[in-house]
Amino acid sequence: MTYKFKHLLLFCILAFSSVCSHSQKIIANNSQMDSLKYSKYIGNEVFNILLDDEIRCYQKFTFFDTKPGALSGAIITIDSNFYIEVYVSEYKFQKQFNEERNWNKSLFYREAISRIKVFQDNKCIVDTKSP
Amino acid sequence: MVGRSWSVGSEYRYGFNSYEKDDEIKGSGNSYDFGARIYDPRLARFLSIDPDFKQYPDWSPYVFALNNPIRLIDLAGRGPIDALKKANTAANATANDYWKKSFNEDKTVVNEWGFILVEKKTVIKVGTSEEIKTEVIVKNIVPGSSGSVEMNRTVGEGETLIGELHTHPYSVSEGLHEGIAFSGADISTLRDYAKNDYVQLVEAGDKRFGLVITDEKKAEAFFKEKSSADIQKSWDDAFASAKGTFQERVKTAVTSTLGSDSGIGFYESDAKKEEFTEIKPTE
Repeated sequence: MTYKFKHLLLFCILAFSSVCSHSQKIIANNSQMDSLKYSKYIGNEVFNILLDDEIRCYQKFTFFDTKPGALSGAIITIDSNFYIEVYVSEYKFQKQFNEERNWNKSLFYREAISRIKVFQDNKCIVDTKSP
Repeated sequence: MVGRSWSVGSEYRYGFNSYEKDDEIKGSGNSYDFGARIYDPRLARFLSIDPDFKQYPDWSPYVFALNNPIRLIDLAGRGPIDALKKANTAANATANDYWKKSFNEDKTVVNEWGFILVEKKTVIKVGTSEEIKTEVIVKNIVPGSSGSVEMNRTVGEGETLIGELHTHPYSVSEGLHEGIAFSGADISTLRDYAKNDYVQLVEAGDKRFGLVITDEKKAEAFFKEKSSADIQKSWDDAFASAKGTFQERVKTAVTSTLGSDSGIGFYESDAKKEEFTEIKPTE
């Protein structure tokens, strides 16, 4: 690897992490007043929200079921203080019930979002279903 | 005539704990008929033993509500019940009814159902005085989807939210499971309702399960420390490594997620859905 290329790669990594860090601060500052920002994803496929500037650097993606075995949605952890719950009520691609709870991420990404809840410091600050 | 008196409102025969006064022998308000036994409020004791005294071996069978009348009530003189039994008694008929309504005739699932339980206080005029009547009622029955239900927890004036119930129906294609307890998401729901004695019930067909906030400070600390993803991961890991039937694995996942110091109790009913036993995590 050339010296120049190494520097370019390092610059890209630093720039990308800076964008992610900046995005998390934006969420911290604005999430309470900005349910409209999340409402625009309702009815859209899950992968759209994963492309959002503020969400794409998420740390963890966890499926959740409200009736054990029946998929309800996913928790997208952005950092230790922020996470988003994405709900899907009707499944066209992913089989919703799976007793072993082995769901497929790529099929889930194609499902339509029915609701989004945003949590800051483990308190719900945005719920797209609430008035 | 000596010993005979009458005043406005004295025709109302009910008093402490809404039970009937038994004034003939000891005078006004000195004896109450609780059905199974007679209570003397001057002694704060029953005059005979609790028919269910074997359930409380550490306590005198004569005590009222385990000497804790703020938290507990004594139902028909047959032993104290806690918040779980109070909520369960109020929910019982509706829960059984809506379990049936969760299914079509061909055993496919219509949808889950959910409702809340509220303690309602109403002022009753008795002659010139007023009494406050307290009752637990079912409210806001809502349908959900086949896999979840969004509760309506709106309460009215004079009402206090004390709990909720939802059904966990499984269709033929889902194995027609009964006896499936709480998911990780169900546990996370309690995050906003971590107040002492709040009850979450799940109607699971052949039995009913309950989560009860037994220590709100510990419960608040539990939810402050753990995000929904943390709770879900803990549930997922325990379920994945648990052995046994689907039902047993779900119960293991719940006990493992809650641990022994979360301030949340996990209970399972008997087949009649009347008595509950705490399920504790195995060491």
